[in-house]
Amino acid sequence: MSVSESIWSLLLNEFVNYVVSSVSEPSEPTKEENNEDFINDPEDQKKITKAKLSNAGYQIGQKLADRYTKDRSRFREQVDIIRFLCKDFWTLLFGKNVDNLKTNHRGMWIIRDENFRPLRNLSFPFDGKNLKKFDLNENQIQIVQRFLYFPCGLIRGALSALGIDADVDVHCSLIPACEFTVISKESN
Amino acid sequence: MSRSQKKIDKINFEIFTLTYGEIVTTLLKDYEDVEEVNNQLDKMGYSMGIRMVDEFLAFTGLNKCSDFRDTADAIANKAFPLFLGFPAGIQNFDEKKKEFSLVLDQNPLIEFVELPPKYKGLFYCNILCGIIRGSLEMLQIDVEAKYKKCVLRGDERSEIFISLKQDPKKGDK
Amino acid sequence: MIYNLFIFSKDNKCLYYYEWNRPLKADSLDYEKENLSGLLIAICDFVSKISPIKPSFFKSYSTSSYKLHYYESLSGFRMAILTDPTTGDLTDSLEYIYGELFTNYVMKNPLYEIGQEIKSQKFIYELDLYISKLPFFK
Repeated sequence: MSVSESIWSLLLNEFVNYVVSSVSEPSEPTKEENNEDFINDPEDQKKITKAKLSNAGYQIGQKLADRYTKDRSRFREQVDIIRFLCKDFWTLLFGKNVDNLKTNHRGMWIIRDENFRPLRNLSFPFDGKNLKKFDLNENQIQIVQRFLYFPCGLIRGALSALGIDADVDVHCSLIPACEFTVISKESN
Repeated sequence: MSRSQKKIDKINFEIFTLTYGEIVTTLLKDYEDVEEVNNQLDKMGYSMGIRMVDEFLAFTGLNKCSDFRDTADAIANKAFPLFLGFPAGIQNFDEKKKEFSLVLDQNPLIEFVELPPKYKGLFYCNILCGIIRGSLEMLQIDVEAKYKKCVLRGDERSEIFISLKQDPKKGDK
Repeated sequence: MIYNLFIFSKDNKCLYYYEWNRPLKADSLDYEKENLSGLLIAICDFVSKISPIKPSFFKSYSTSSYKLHYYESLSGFRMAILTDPTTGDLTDSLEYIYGELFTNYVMKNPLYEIGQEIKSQKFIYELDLYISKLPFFK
């Protein structure tokens, strides 16, 4: 059975909004033990936002990767895992294959998607200068990051389920393109 | 005004279901009061609903609903299949009181979900109430949408009760 | 030839205005933005009331020097495009602007606040691109 991609995308955006606002201004006291954790520092707020969204993505990435590979034999080589991620898994979640993959053959991969679906509808107010330039300033990069923590988690979770324990980071300076950096924890 | 968009991207329902499950889990961790979780889900749904209508209208090319029955039909037999992949059932339609129940027989959101007794007050799919409320509001139709029954709470089926709050401004009678 | 475009909310607020070719500038653009919406609502209402065949909805009006094409969605999105009088039916284009551009780059943009003026760069860019590629643009 299928649902529309839009309802998932809208749901995720609401989740991001919820996490961001609940981290920066918890309203009434929620649970007793959380009171002393009221976070004032924006850097800390960012870390917690990132952790919450990334971990949620991680859980889901793991489960999905498990489900979609249970009929296949275990992947033997890392290159097969990465290929599955960049083609099958990416298509499942984001509707297309990745556009570019680079590796140093020692546990680091850089995955580039020129038209990343979660970022396709995202757009900042026009500053009046160059209509064709979609480059982001520092502040805008920070805002876009919030929408990328969850996908990072998805990738990290999927890789973990398939046998690669890695850190996943993402950079976006020109929507809707973005670049994921995957560094296997075993690499040096 | 009847040409529609050609296609709408789909994803596997599991992705949606798992994501939704994580969100509810997060909310339950953040809030002690289950009623507050219900509220948050409704709020999120409302915010989603107001953004979903235009896609729905563009895709289906639907014209004005001539009465409340048409509205119910649009929700159950057009919007639900389009966005959630399954149709809802309409029951107890009352033309005079302008209310009806939406019955969810094949709701994928609750697949594999079990509610521990301490969360008995939770309406797991309450986000749907917000979505319905928000999207109808964009069409000048003010309704109250509330869960009446939920299989996760032990009821025999899941039912959302929808009632019109006031006289509609245009289109519906 | 396409002159300019207005987008209004259901509360008569002008959410977006753009002009591609406007040889005769507005005396007061604010006046136009504030009053065009109300006028169009009145026209829609009147036009439907006197229709000899129901149902009927307003699509366009023509003057000696321009034609105003109108589009309205059930959700309250309203748009007027002004072109030269020889331009034919624009329904397809209007539906595209609403169904693809507005829906995707405004309503589904998480950074857009519903009911506010539209400033989203992607929307402005795509709309400009679409309009300037139409055969009757120039």
